Amino acid sequence: MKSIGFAGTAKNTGKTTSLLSVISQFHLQNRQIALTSIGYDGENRDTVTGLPKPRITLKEGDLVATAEECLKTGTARLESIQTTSITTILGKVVIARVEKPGTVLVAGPNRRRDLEHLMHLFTALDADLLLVDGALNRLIPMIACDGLVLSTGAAFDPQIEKISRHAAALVDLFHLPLSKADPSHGSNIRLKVDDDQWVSLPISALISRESLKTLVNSAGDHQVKEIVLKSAQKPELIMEFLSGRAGPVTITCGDPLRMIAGGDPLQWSRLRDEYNTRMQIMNPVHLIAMTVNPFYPRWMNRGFEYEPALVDAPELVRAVTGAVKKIPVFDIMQSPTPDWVRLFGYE
Amino acid sequence: MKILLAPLDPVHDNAVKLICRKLTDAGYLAQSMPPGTSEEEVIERALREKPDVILISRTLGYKVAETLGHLVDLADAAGLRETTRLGVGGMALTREAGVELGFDATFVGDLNFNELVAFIEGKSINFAVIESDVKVQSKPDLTAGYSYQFHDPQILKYLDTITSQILEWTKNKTTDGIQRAVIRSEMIDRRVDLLHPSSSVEEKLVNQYLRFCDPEIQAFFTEKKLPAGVRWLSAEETARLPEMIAQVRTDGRSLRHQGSKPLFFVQYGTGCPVMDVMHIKTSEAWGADGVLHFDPSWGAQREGLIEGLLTHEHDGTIVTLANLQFIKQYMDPKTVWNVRGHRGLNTPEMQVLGHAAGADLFKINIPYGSTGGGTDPARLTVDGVYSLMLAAQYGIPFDIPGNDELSGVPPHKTFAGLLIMMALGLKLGARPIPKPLLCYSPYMQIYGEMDANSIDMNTAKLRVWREIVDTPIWPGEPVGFMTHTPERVQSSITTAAYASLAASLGVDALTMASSDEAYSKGPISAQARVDTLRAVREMMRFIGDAGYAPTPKAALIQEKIHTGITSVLKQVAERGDFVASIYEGDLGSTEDGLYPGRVGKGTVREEKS
Repeated sequence: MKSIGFAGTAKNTGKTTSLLSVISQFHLQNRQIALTSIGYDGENRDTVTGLPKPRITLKEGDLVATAEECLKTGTARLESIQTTSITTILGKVVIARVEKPGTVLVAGPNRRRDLEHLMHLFTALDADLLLVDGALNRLIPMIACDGLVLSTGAAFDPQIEKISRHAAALVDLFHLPLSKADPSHGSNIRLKVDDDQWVSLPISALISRESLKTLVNSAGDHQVKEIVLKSAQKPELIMEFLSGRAGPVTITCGDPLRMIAGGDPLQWSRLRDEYNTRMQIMNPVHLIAMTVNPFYPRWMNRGFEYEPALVDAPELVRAVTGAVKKIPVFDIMQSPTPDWVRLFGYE
Repeated sequence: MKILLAPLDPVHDNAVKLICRKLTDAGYLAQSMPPGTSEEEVIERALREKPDVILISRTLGYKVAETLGHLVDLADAAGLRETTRLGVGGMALTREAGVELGFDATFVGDLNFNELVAFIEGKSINFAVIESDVKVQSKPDLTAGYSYQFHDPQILKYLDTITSQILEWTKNKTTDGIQRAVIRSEMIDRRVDLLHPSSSVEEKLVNQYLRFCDPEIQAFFTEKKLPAGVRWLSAEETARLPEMIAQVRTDGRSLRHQGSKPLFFVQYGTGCPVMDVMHIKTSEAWGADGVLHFDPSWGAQREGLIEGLLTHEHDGTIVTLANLQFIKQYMDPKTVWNVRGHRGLNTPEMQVLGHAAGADLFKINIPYGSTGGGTDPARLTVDGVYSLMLAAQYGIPFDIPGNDELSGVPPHKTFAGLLIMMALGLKLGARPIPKPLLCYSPYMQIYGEMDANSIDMNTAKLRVWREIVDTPIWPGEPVGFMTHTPERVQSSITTAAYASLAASLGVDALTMASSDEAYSKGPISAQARVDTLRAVREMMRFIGDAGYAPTPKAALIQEKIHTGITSVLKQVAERGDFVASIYEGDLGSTEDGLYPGRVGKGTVREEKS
């Protein structure tokens, strides 16, 4: 079974719209899909802005994993196949088959471990393709997926130049060289110092000044050749650590998604370009494509509500495509529609 | 168990401090972080302390969602989610937002400590946990504990005279309304579908029913002709309802700050059963204990009722068995339901349908229904007595609205009418609930009775009842009538003020309007309903177990009303003809602004033996 995650840099960047585009193409080819979400999808109004959201429609035979309370809330008739042990605020996650086509509300596992468990269950049910809709800017559960479609756009920042610079830095993280180290061995944070000795740190993440102090104390006066950070890490703290230290230093991170969760991709770019470092990752994540969305909710003070607004769509696509280069970029609101079937390797 | 609490707000940490204290008092190891804590600092502390649960406090807003989502991601990235559960609470949060954000629990609205503890202990949070705070396992009986003993022997004597006269006069009299009620009752027992009778016996019953109906009603059944403004509800309209209802959330909290009284009722009648259900579910979600079905006035002016799942484009939802059953199926089992039938030509049949659909309360008031309600006094007296007998037979209490004050009738006359209905119902074995109207009526305005304040008069109006009889009291419909303006804040506040006054005086229930109802320029909105319910909850919290302090004038007003009631009842008793008393204005005259009704005049006849 292949699994594709749909994640975004912010709310309303077009994750679900991209997902719907995929579903539509696969349905047109009479291919069955399985669907879940790490958030809450398919509602008709955004839970924060109140603006309309796209509905998710599945056809007969599709599979969906959603919370118990969502089973009867769409117009699709669902037949429960299996109640999992995965719990959410809206009840246990249930795997169901669509008996009668219609809309669905999807609320699935909210953490990586649970998503991995769900994938095992879908594999046992002979599902061929699992689509995992994202939530907000949350990424970590998508580590479990075979591929990722990332969405960005004006909802992240209404300035096109900022969107494109951020997108380029983001995509670079997915194309870092692969470390030869075995990711399952060694502590979460360790240093390779002079004489190639390893020093393990008693902290699991480098995300605050407290953990930086521990890093500095552990390094002492040693020359640091490599820093391994398998879980969460903040690039600014690494930069602070490296200031005044002789390089070059190899920064080995767990995976691109943890890097993004830890810090702004632009800061990672700074770390790479300004601090004489070489960055590599232990676990690659296959970034298949990026979609851009010119829409953003604009806050209206006079009515104390949000209204839909758009940036220049062609300019947005042009700028991001030019900046990113390594993967295809699509405006999800305009044609040409990406050939998702080919992009996902289903020819 | 170890709990880490963190306000992600730059300034506010009151909720965190409060919860931390309560958890510590409950024996948990609770630690809190200061305001302005960053997501990274929370995760770092959690990695060090290894709590079982992290509770985050933050108001949800645009871009704040990303901050909360980032915290959840960071927790997952750092491996914390293997061992630690995440909960979030704050303004504007909903369960759905909590799911989107990736939390394991969301705490919506005011703190419910049981819910919090259930989450900490790893138990599934369901409304059974929350409802254990408010032990309402079955519908309350508003009449329970009341003896209906009269404390004023003079009033009791007059009432006995009046009610005996009424019962003697109505003996052997009947109307088409009563005949239809009898046939309808049989059709319900036999499960006859009026629209599609399936046998010759059923057809015969339907035809018998139609014989007592107006031509317009007959045309509906025989020619499928819909009255103006009425149409069938489509399958598509009704099919969307489960999905819409699923989006309504409740925390099960009552509007009461403490205790089990009063019950809070709202009135509905949008014209559309689907919209009515949404209004009811919204009202339930925001704490209403009961709802009242308001029917359209044109329906009361026709002999006979149409049937089916029907919607219409004016105020009031058509009373059909199908409509009532449709609405009922979506009601929370705890919601108390009143179906209005206090005026018009179909009063007995309305009780039959209400009972068949599962109504908990009826509404019957002969003096008001045959004046302000527009029905002929003779007709409604005969129909009303029969309806009271049905109420007694079904064991369903009936409420008696005192809205004739809105025409200008002084309270002592209205209350005299309510007392007559009470005594009549009691004599027939029914259980009455009088509804003094707390309002700024024309009488109050003209005579300046509420110029100084609104407390003295309304306190007097409620206290005089306690003085006269041991009875449940239910002010409405609604409280604060004629104090509302088109401005929603003002309307909500005035309703909340009246509600809190009534509650502080120990009433058993009260009815509230939505904040846009009194002067609505269009359909009543769910948002406006919520305004009022929320305002009432706040006012109930404010007044708590304290009360208002009327001036000494209240006692004088109370005495004046009591004396006035006695005088009116004496007049009616001595007149010896209740129907004539209504016509002659003893219970509200043309000078007061009240006119006898005309619908159904001349339709009472002697019953053939």
